[in-house]
Amino acid sequence: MRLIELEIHNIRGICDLLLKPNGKNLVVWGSNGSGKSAVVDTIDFLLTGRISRLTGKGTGDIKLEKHGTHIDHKPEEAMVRAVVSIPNYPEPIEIKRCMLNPGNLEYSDPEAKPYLDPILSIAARGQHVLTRREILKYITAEPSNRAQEIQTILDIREIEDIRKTLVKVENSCEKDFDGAKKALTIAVGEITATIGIKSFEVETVLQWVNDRRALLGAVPIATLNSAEVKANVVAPVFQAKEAPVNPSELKTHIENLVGFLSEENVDTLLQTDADLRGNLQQVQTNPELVRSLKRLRLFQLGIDLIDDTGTCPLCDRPWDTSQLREHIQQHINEAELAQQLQSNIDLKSKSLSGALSDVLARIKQVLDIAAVAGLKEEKSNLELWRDNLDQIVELLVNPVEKYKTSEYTTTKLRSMLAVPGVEPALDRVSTFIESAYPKTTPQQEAWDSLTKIETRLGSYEKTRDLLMSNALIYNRSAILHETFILTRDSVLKSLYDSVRDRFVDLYRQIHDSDESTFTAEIKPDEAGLDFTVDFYGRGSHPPHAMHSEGHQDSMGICLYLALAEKLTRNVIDLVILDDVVMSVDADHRKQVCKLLSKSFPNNQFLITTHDRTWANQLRSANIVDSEGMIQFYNWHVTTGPQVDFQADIWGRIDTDLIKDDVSSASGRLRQNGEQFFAMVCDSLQAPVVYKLSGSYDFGNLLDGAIGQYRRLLAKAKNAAQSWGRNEEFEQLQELDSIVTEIYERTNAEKWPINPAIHYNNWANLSKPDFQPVVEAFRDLYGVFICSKCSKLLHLVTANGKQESVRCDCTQIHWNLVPKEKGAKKQ
Amino acid sequence: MTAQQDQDKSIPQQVIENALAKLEGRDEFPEAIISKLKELAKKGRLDSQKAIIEAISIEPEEPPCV
Repeated sequence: MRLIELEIHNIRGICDLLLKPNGKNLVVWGSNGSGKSAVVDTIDFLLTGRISRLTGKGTGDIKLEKHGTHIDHKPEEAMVRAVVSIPNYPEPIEIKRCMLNPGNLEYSDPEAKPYLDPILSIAARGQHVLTRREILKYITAEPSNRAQEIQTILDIREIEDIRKTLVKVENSCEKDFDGAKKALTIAVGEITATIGIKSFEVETVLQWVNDRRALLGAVPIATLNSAEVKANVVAPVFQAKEAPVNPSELKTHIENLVGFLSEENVDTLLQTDADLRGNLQQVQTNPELVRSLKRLRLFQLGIDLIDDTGTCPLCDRPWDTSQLREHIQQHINEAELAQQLQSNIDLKSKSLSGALSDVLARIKQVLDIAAVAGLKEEKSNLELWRDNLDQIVELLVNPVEKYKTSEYTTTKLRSMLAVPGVEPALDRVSTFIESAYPKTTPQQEAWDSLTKIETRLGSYEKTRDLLMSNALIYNRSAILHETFILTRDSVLKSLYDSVRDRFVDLYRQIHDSDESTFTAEIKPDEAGLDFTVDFYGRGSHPPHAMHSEGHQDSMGICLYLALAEKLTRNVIDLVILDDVVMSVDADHRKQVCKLLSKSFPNNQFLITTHDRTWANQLRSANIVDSEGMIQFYNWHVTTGPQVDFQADIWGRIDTDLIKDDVSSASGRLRQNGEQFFAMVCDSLQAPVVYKLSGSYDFGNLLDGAIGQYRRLLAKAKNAAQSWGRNEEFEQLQELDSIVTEIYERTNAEKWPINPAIHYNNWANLSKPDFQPVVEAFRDLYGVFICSKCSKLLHLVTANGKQESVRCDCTQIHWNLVPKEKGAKKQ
Repeated sequence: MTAQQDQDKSIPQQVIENALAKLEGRDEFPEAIISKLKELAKKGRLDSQKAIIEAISIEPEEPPCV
């Protein structure tokens, strides 16, 4: 996007202003408080509907509708209109925004909206403006703040949002997986408790089922499957009349539970727990081991992702495939200790949770009977015990994350494993069973057992399928998350590397004279972004640690331009630099000019400055032409700034003279003359009487400029003669006469002897006396400017020797080097 | 994809597309899941926990019996 026209009404210190940069660079300069930054604020408002300067820390009481308008003006009177050209859109369009409805951007052509949207999106991130405040964000900020600022500007917050979501997805899937794992442990416990075995083995369970089927006269089944457990088994005829209670099975459960409560059994369990907590403490107190465990999965994933492209899937850098495989394998080997530890933890926690699940399944059976019997106290004791054991099983599902050994001490664990009062309660339930349920026949018992195992096997099959499905989904979520992180790191690294390379390249262009080997590092570190720069080959330091403020300003500009280039290429060409070279010295500012001209020829710059020298340097370096030089001065609360369009200087002086206003015309000529001849002195490298104050007046600068011009012209004539270029000599001779005549008409030579015509007294001249002076200076300006390319003449030197005077298009080209003695004439 | 094509995309787009490309062809991620994730990325819905879980829970269709 380029700015063709900008019209401002009643915004931030400007009453009415129309600028017509026509897509070219613009320099707005003027003293502090002259209203320059209001132009920046207005463009900001036009593109974003807000004014950045009125937002952020310490701006709580500042409101756009109250403080965005020019003082004493209503929001409906504050408006900005612009004509802009947009990439890929055939015609420039007009856009408008009013402070009354800041959220609404009006378009002259609604069809252009989709083309303008990407530009507005970039502007919304503040990408189009660099102010001194922004420089501080990049250079002196803490790494975390810098990361946030740069992520905002690069629009990569979306990546962080997705990462957070993927973490949540993985956590949620892990939770479901853990839940299914626990459910399966319990389902297995219910089967082993029913059968009375220590561990679940298909062959054992199948044999148990077939034994009972045989008792009921059914053939054995070949596979263990809940649907087949009772297939072709005829139920005993009395089965329906009896309660579904198997007293001998219940008795076995109670005997097992009592055995579990024995001191010997609890000691054995606590010994396994002691081994487990030893391993857990090793992992939990050593973050490196936890990291190794995490990295193990990462490297295993990496080795899986290696293909024939010769690129590492973890860092996206080129690698020899076999070397890469070896390198990653080495990392995997280093994580072996962690892996060993993990398998010990898995083994012990599985052993413990298996024993507890078996007990939980038995408690459940006994609890049902206690409820039927109305044994409230016993039921309550058993429930407390069940809840304690359930809590331990929950810890053992993911012990590294959940089992806090300091919280669950051995003493606490002992009391949870063997709750006081449970054993007598079990005795009372046992007594109740003996009295309430008479012994049943073996066939009835077999039928009841098959019924139970059928249900429990069904539950086992269901939870096993769920676990497999959850494991797959959890695995997918982990791979998705890790692949996203790997890709993010790889893309961001490549992005930051390219930004760094461009930053270093730009900075070296400005500081080639003293830091030609300058280097920098920009790299993400956890949530922050580390930024260090080389200090004259003496190591890397934060940018504001060793370098001067001027160097820091240069770094801010270069980093901003490198970032802007990355993000706005082909979308937004307008770059606003708001008073950003405050601390950069004049020599390095020249280099900044060269940088803008050489490295960013396709951008449109709007540069504001309070510094006349910098403004002149920009003009002299042709960053901006005379039409683009706008001076703000004499700001007043009721009128805003007075604006001087340098390109139209002669038109404005003519207008003053038509109104007989010699005073204004003379002031304008003198002020403009000071700027103009300062630029001439700079481009011709003219000596000027040195003043410590740095305030060179019109007379000094004019003397310097005309004196140097004449010396160079004489040198050019001499050189032309020495080479025998008579025609060239004649032309230079004629030019000399013309310049002498014009200079005489300015009366400048008579100023020292006739104070009445001195430029200090121009304001007192009559219009007829001043008119010829204006004409003479208009002609004198033309002496220093090429009529074809409109650029100032400049002196070309090599190794300290003056070689030529020329303009940009070379229509004017004076050779200053005379023929050496003995060389042939041309 | 050429470097220029990559440059023309936003950075989040590059990350998402490259990540999905890395998952393509992996046994754990059948085509149906990749398609669904691409669809979510296109709609800007990769910040939805529910949508992602639904996508990665898709079971591949069994080939028809012949």
